[in-house]
Formats: sequence, C-alpha cells, structure tokens
Amino acid sequence: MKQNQKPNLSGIQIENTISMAVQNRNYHRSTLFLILIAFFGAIGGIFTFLSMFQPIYHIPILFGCLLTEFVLCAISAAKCGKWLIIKLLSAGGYVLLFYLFRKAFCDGFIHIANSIYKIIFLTDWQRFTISGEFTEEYSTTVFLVFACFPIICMICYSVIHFQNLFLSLLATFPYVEIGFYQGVAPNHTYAIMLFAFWASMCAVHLSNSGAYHKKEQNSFLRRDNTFFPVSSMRFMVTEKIGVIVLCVVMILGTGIDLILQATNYHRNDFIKKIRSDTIENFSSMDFSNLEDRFSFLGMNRPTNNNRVVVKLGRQDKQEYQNISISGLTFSELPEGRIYLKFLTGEIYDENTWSMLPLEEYESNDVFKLFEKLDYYPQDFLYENVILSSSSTTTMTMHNLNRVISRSVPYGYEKNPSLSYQNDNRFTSFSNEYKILRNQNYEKILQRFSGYEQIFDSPYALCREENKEIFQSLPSENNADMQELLFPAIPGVFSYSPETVEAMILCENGYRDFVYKHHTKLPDTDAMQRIYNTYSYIIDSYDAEYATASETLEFLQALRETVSKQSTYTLAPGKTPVDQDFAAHFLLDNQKGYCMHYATAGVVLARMAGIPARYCEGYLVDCKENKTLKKTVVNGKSVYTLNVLDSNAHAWVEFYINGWGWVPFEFTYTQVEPQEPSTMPSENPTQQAAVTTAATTIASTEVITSTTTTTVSTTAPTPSQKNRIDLRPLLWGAIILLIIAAIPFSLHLFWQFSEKRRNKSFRQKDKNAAAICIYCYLLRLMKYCGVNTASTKISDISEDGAAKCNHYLGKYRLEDAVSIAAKAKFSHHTITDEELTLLLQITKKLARSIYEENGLFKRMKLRYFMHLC
Amino acid sequence: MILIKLLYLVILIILVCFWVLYVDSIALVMLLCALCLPVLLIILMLWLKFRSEASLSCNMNTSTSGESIPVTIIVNNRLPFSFSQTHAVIDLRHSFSAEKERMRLQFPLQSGNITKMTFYIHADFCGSLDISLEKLFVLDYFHLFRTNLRMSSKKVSVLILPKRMPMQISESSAPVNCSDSDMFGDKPGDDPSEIFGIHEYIPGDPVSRIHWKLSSKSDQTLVKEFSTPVLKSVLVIADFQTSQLTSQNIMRESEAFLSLLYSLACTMIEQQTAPTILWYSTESNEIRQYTPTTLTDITEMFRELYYSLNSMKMDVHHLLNEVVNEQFSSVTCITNFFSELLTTAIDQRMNANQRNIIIISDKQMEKPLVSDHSSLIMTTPDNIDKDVKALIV
Repeated sequence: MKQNQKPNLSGIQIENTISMAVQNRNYHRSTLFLILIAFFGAIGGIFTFLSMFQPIYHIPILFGCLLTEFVLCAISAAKCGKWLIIKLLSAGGYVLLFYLFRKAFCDGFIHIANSIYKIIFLTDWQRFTISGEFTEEYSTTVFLVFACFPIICMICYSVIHFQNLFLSLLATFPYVEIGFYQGVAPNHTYAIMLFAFWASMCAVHLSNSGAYHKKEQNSFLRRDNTFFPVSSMRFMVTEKIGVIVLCVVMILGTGIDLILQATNYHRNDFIKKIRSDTIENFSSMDFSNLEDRFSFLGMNRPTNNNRVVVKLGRQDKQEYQNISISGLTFSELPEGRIYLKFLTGEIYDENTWSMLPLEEYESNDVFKLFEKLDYYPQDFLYENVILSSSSTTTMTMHNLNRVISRSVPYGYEKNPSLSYQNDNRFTSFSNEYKILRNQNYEKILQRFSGYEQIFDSPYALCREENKEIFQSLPSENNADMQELLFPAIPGVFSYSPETVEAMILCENGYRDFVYKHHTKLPDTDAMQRIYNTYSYIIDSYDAEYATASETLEFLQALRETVSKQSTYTLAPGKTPVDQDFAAHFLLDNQKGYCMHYATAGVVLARMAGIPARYCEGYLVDCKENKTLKKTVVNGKSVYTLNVLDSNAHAWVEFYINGWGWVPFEFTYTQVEPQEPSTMPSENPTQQAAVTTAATTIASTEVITSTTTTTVSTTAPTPSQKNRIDLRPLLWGAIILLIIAAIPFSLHLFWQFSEKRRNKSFRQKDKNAAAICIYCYLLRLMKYCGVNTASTKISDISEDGAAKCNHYLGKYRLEDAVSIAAKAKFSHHTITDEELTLLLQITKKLARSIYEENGLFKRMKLRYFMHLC
Repeated sequence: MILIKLLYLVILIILVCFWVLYVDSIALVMLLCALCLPVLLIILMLWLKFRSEASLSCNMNTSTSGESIPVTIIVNNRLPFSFSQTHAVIDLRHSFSAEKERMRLQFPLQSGNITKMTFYIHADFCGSLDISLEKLFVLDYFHLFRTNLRMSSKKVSVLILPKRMPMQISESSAPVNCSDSDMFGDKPGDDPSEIFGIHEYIPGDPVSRIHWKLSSKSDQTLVKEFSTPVLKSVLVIADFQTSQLTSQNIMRESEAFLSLLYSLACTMIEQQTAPTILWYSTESNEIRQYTPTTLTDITEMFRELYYSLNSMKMDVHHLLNEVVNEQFSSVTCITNFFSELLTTAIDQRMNANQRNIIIISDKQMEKPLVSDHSSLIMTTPDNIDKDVKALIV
C-alpha cells in the first residue's frame, strides 16, 4: 500500500483507520451463492456442448459422476489451502482411475470426434475408426466423466476461489465455441444457463475490481487517498450480486426464448441474404497479399521508369466475379481473338517483371530514327500484315475502366490519337482503332511460311529487286501468293523505295536492340535447372538461322511440352518466397494459370535465343463471347460485346525478324483452333515443317476442345448477379475502426506520458525532481516565446518573467528559476516547500496557457505537444 | 466507465454479427438479453436513487490539533438489492490552507440495510476544518451507469482548537492605589492574596480554593473566599500578520501564536481572571474585543478569530484610540511581526502595571529595547513552550 508521499500543505492528515458497520447483521451464505454460480457454469458449459453434438452416453451415470465431481471440486475450492491431503488423494484417485479406464477413454474421445464430425459435415460417415472393444455409450460416458473433471475443477476454482471472469471463460468457452463457430444449434436452456453464468461472472469480477485478494490485516486498503475494501470486507455483496445477475439473465433469456418460440420466429430473408453475402465475402478476402489487392490504386501500372509492373506468385488463387468492365463495338466481327495489351514486362528478376529503364532507350540511336521517321516498332506488325490482308474493322471501346482505356490491340492502323514512346510505351491513347480483321497471327505467319526462303517479310516484297523476283515467279504460285497472302491490296507496291528502305533500316537497327535486351535471363540456379530439364527441346532450335515459321513451330512444340507437364488451374497456390516463379511452375508445382504459362514461355523462348516479352491485358474471344450482340445501325451491322474481368490474361510476345513483336498464346487452354496449312511448298523441309505444324495444331485442337469448356465464361448465376458486395463496407468499417482508434491511442499515450512525468516530479531525490520540473517549465516558457537557449540563467529568468509572469498571478517565475538553479548548481538540498512552490508555479503556467487557448490548440497542446 | 461502455458496445456489435451469421435463434436471445440488461440497470439505478439516502456526520464539534476526529458516512439502502461499488468523494478543507485534501472511499452496500463508514482524520494545525461529501454515487453491476444518492447532510465543520501549553500566570504584586477605593479587606472578591472568608464546600466551588490546611484539621472541606477584588483588567492584544496562510511555515507560526493565546486565555479563566482579548480586523476595519469568562466562550471566540486571522494586522492608531485611556493591570501583546510602533505604544503609552510583549517569529531580528516595566520575549514557533512558561499579568 502506498501512502501519499507528497508534502501535505492542507494541514489535514487522513488516518489509515476506516471502519464499516451495518445495522442489521444478516447471515449470508456467500460460498453457497458461489457454488450455485459455478453449478450453472458447469452444467451450462458441458451440456451445451453435449446438446450440440449429441453423442451417445449414459445419462444417469454421467450426471451422477459429474455431480460427484462437482461437489468434490466445489468443496476443494471453498476450502482452498485446507484439506490438502484429501485433495491429493482425490487427484491420485483420478489418475489411477484414468489409467484403468484409459482405453475406454481413448475410444470415447474418438466417438466424440466422430460425433463432432458428423454434425459439422452433416454426414453419417464415421471419420475416425474405433477399436470396437467397448460400446459407444460406455466409452463416451467414460470419456466425458474424465474429461469433465478438470473442466469442473477449473470452473469451481475460478468462481469460488478466484472469482475471475477470464478463468471462467477459459473453462467454458473453447469447447462450446467449436459448435458455435460451425453454426451448430445447442439446447437453448443450457445455452441460456451458460450465458447467464458468463454475465454473472462478469458482474462478480467487476464488483471485485480495485480490491486486493491477498489477505491483509487491515479491512481497507489505501492507495494515496483512496480506500478500497478487501474481499472479506465486502460483506458478501459480491456473491449476492452474482446470483442476482444469474437469475435475471436466466429469467430474461428464458422469457425471450419462450416469446420467440410462441411467435414462431423466423429469420428475415434480408438477414439471410446479408449472412450469405458476408460469408462469401469473407471467404474471398485474403489479407496476405494486401499490396496486390490494392493494385487498383496503381501499383501495377506501367510507368515511365523501370519500376516493377508485375509481381509474380503472390496469390494463392485467381478469382473473378465475371462482371463487365468495358464494352467493344466492331463494324466487322474480327477473326480470331483480340489481345488488348495493357503492360509489358521486359526484365525478369526476383519473381517480378519490370520494364527496361529509359536510359537504355536514350543511349540507342535507332529510337531517334523512329522518331524522325514517325515509324515505331509498334507499327511493324500492322505494316507487315496489312500487306497480306487488307481486311480491317473498326473497334470502338466504351465504358472504359482505367485499365481498358490504356490497353492497345495488335495490328492497328496508325492513329493520330496515339502517341508513342520508344518501343513499348504510349503517352496518349485512343478509344477507337482500325485493326486487322484477321487477328490470328499464328495463322498469318504460317501462311507466309512457304515464302520465307524468298522473302523474309512481306514488305520485303516492296523492294525493287524483290518485286522482280515476285513477278518472275510462276504465275500459279504467284496467283496463290496473291490470293492467300496478298488478296487484292491496292497500292501494295505504292511505297516509295526510299520509304521501304527506311522501314527496313529501322527494323534492322531495332533488331540489335531487341536481341540485346530481350534474350536476357537472370543467372541463377533456377534458370539452370529449367535449362537442364528443357535442353532437349531448346537445343533443337537454331536461333541464328531459323525462319519465322520454324520459330513458330518451335514455340508451338514448347507450348505442347509444357502443357503436357502441367495443369491449368486458377488456384495453384503461392510461390514460396525463396523459389523462382518460373522454376516452381515448370519443375515443382506444375500448376498455374496464364501468368505462369506466359512467364514460362518467355523464359524458355529466351533460353532458346528468341527475343520474348511478357504481356498482360485482356483477351477477347469475339465468337465465343456470350455477350455478343449484333445490331443494325444506319443500315449497317454493328457487333457489340462486353469485356469481363475474367477476360484478363497474360501471354507472350516474341520478336520475328522483319515482322516485329507478334503475340503468342502459351496457355494451352487459350490456344485458338488452327486450320491445317494447305499451302504448297517446294521445299520438302518446309513441307515437313508445315505438316508438323499441322499435326501440332491438330493435337492442340484436341486439347483445346477438351479444355475450352473449363475456361469458358459462365453466365453469372442469379445469386452472383444479385450478390451484395460487402467488401467495400467491410473495408470501410475497418478503416473507420482504425480512424476511431487513433484518438483513443493518442489519449492513452498522453495519459501514459503524463503519468511518467508526474512520477519524475515525485522522485525521492528532490534536486533531481526539481530539475525535471524545471525542464518541463522550460518547455512551457519556450511555448510562451521565452528564449530558453540562452546560457545565462539570469537572462532566461528575466525574459521568462517578462513573458510569463502575467500568467502566474501571485507567483513569480524568477522564484522558480532560482530554485532550479539552486538544485542544479549548488549543494543546497531542495526543501519540500521549494519543490512544491516550483511545481505550483509550473502547473499554474501550464494551466493558464491551456485555458488561454481554444479547443483545437488545447488538443494540440495536450495530445501532440504534451505540454498541458 | 467510458471504457466499459465502449467495451459493452463492442460486445453488442459482436452479438449482432453473431446473430447475423448464426442461424439458430439462440443468438437473438443473447442479443436481446444484452440489449435488455442496460435498460434493467437504468431502472434499478433510478429505483435506488429514490429509495436510498445518505448523510455525513461528525460527533465532535471541537477538537484539538493532532486529535483524531471520526467522520461517518451513513447510507440507507432500502432496496432488496446489494451494490458492491459505492464511491464517496470527500473534500477536507482547512481554513488556514488554500490546499484541500480529497479522499475517495469505496465500499459495498448491503440490501435493505444501513451502512456506516467511519474514517478518521486529524488536523496538524488549529483552525476550522470543513468536511464535505462532494459526491456519493453507486455503480451498477456492470459499471455502465451510476446514480448519485440523495444526501440529507453533506457538510460538517469541526473547530480545531490549538494545543494547550502548560503556563503559569502570576499576578503583579504592585498594588493599585485607588483613593476612593473601597476594595480592600472586607468585601468578597477574587483577590487570592486576601482571604475574605471561609465557607463549607459547595459543589461547583473551584478545587483550587479549598483551604487544605483548615480542611485537614476539620471534618469538612472548607473553601476560601477571596477578598475584595483588585481592579484586574488584563488585556491581551493579538497581532498576527500574514498576507497568506498557504505555506506550512505560516501555519506553524499561526499554530504557535494561537496556541499561546489559547493557553493564556484558558489559564486566566481557570484562575478566575477574565482577559480581554483584542485584535484588529482589516476586513471589517475595526478593533474586535472579546472577554471570555468560560472555556466555552474561548471556543466561540476562536471560531470568530479563525475567520479573521488572515486580516488581523494591527492598526496601532486604532488600538491607541480604543484603549489608551483605560487602565489595565497588565497588557500582553502577542505578535509574529516586530513593529516598533506597536512595541513603543505598548511599552510607553499603555496604562498598565505590567506589559508583556511576545514576538513569535522564525526570522532573526534584533531584540528591541523596552523599559523596565515591560518584558519582551522573542521566541520561535518551535520553542514557544520553552520560552513562554510563565507570565506576569
């Protein structure tokens, strides 16, 4: 017990003696009250559990044993500290009996576990096998008898001896929570008993708050000038309160339950809906990758420096809501799937994709040439392909979200709204594109494959010398070529030679850049492992001499190999932190979705020497899109469809000399069915290659046909359609709680710092205490504008007096300064009176400053500056 | 309490969530119970407020410094419910101190019973002690609400008299000549040096007047009757100067000052001398005179004296105007401040056989010169009982 150590200036001493008397001395059965409360707790807890899971047991025996145990434990708790021998004998007997009945106990445990399993999973199946030596009733009863003994013991001690709420909760809550958590309904009477027990113990615990439980000689305990009665002096009020609360809650609970039963209460549909939505939302919430969850804030956006654009392997699974995020309108329905590219990853390192730094572009002159000619790598593909296929369609994007508005399709005609930066970035975007109608680039490349020996790219045809070669070809071949590759393109040879040369020059210069930067991989063990596993394929490809079609065939073969060794799933699990993403997918886990396949494709392509990039965006299948509608506007057919969030996709871009960056689908489930190539070829190698390609395509088709259904978008179910997305609300609630916690934390922190400060003022060494008070006074003076940095005490005193004395009334600041100076610089021991005066002056100044200011400044003074 | 309310709110929110997520109606039962409990508690608290009362009492009206004073809080709970947390906040104020002591007491209330809580205090210094029951409230079972109990009496005052010092008062032997006096010899009076007569002891006679010699010789107890009274008018001037009574030093000084005054007055009363005690109040701008004849009168005088202690500073001119023409057998001035004016006035201008000047102060000062028929005692508050043991009045 601490008494007030500060000097008493009031001249009044409060003595330690306090007596309490009552007029009518009633006999209270305090222990019996507590035993009653404990009884409710034991019965309520144990039988709530039993009513939930309904194991088979022998009721009279169990009840008799539990009663006996209860009586024993209650007496033991009431006579705590006494009858030690009997307690030891009881414990010994328990252990001995437990040993004798151990087999039945184990069987009983399994029976109980099975009962729990059956109720939770609503099945009759016995989850755990049992020895069968004992009957279920017998073994369950034995188990319950022995398992309930420590529970009853804990309840009795926590109620009768300790009168502690938390111990009581610990003794009753855990096993009951198993059922509550799983939504199992208990017997209402026992549940109400349990609830009444908790409320009663709460009241008992609160009524004891502030009292010491150790046996003290005094009837009242003193802390400073506050007096608390000891437990024995509470005149049995605590126990009575416990019983009152117990009875009230029992009556209340039973009454409410009867009313609900009488009124045939059923849950509102609205509540049921909220419940189902909440459960769904909670199950979809994942706190482990908050950063990715907040990616909509812009963390995964491509930027103009080499920031990371994609972080790989952070999510357990990929989920979609199948909600529409944008719409597309076409004048002509495109063939093939449309890739809308949002971002590109160029550097693969530490399980991330990032963009090349701008310095790499600035140091390369070819980009200046691009700028000069206004002809960029982004234009290569269109310029090449348009020569082979003139059919275009206009694609308009509407209801754009932030991602779609920055996504660009392939094979678009140069658009004044678009502005480029280097080979990958855009500084302005468009919502309308004129794109190639045939978006199946694999098919286009295959068509050209027969002529690769002659021309390395379609616009190479435009060269004068090649024009002659073209014209010198047999007319039937010429005709085929014209028909298949160049169906009536007006002005195909209309490019001026200078223009053609410039275009070829750009592309040639760009190739070096591409091969330098887009074939790199990190030099790690993981890459080596991948190479070792796939070397039999990788080494079969000759990057130096391969044609476009050979490259395509190689990539297709790679795709097939990977597809055979992996499984497509949207829930592949996270990549362990210490493992490489690609290696984990290709070699260990072998499960993944488009992100995994695309990354693996880029890695393997680069290993083979093929420049490749990782792309993300949206993949829109016009034909299989269930939202596709055809309307007629001004006599013309217009096709519209919605882009869904589930259309998000990742793929590979690889560079083909002369053609540019071509998209390649590496996820086998997304591969478009390819028609077998029927192009004649004079080159048997090419013919074989074509055949091989055809075979590959056919097999891919098979795969596609079996797996397409799993990936096809499903129409949202009615429940999904009308589902209330409570996640924003939940996040809002969490944010509100955090906001509410801030002032609370500030207040707690202020209280803590106040206590610490006051403690320093009350320390035994008065000189040190005076110095502490003076330091605080200096802060107050500084706030008032006093120059406390001066080294002269007299200056501080003078300045302080001028600026602060008007706050102090009858006190003077000079006195405080002189006391502090004495404490610090002289051998004088500060007296109580001086210390008190110093403290009074300081407190007076603090109070005056506080009262002088308005509400906000007061808050600032108190919670942020800790001055008042 | 705010924390507990917040906690209860959190529990309610948890129960609401539990009700939403849990299919069985037991969750609704729990929620409704949790909602009804505060309502019941409010009703209980209101009921308690109207069916209970409290009072503060103290059996002692007067006490001395250092003596234990019992103070009792009586709470009558007529409800059939007990409460474990009754909080009483008591403020203790000393008339001479600007600081107050606050005391908090927590005790249980039994159902249908009267609870008496007695605590003890003592004052270190004399003065008037005000004890007030600032707050008395009861918390409910879950500490959500509280109610203030009705209080029939919430303030008591106790007069703390100073400690009495042992003193000897001796009378001046110099006779006062009065030509037209018929006061010598044969008339009863109260001059102990002259015996007028002897009578049998009557209950109520002072014990000090018993004639032991004669009583031992006879079977009866005989009491002396003193002779004609000498005109003994004893004046005591109380001059206590302070601008504030906040520091302990000042309280020590005032304790010593009042203790001397009290001891002097009581001793004189016991010796059948009624002193005239005089002090000047700057507040009312007048000389206050008081002539106690009994110890009760002294108590009443001190009650008044305490309230004017702050403003006592003696106005010498006023004093001289008031008493300069009177004759006194002795004038005793008790002061804590050396004033040459006052000392000179008493020493040279007062018409008295004996003049005593007692200066009580911790400050070091030169002893002023006084004439032969004046006695000057300079002392400190700690040594007063040693330095002032006997006075000639």
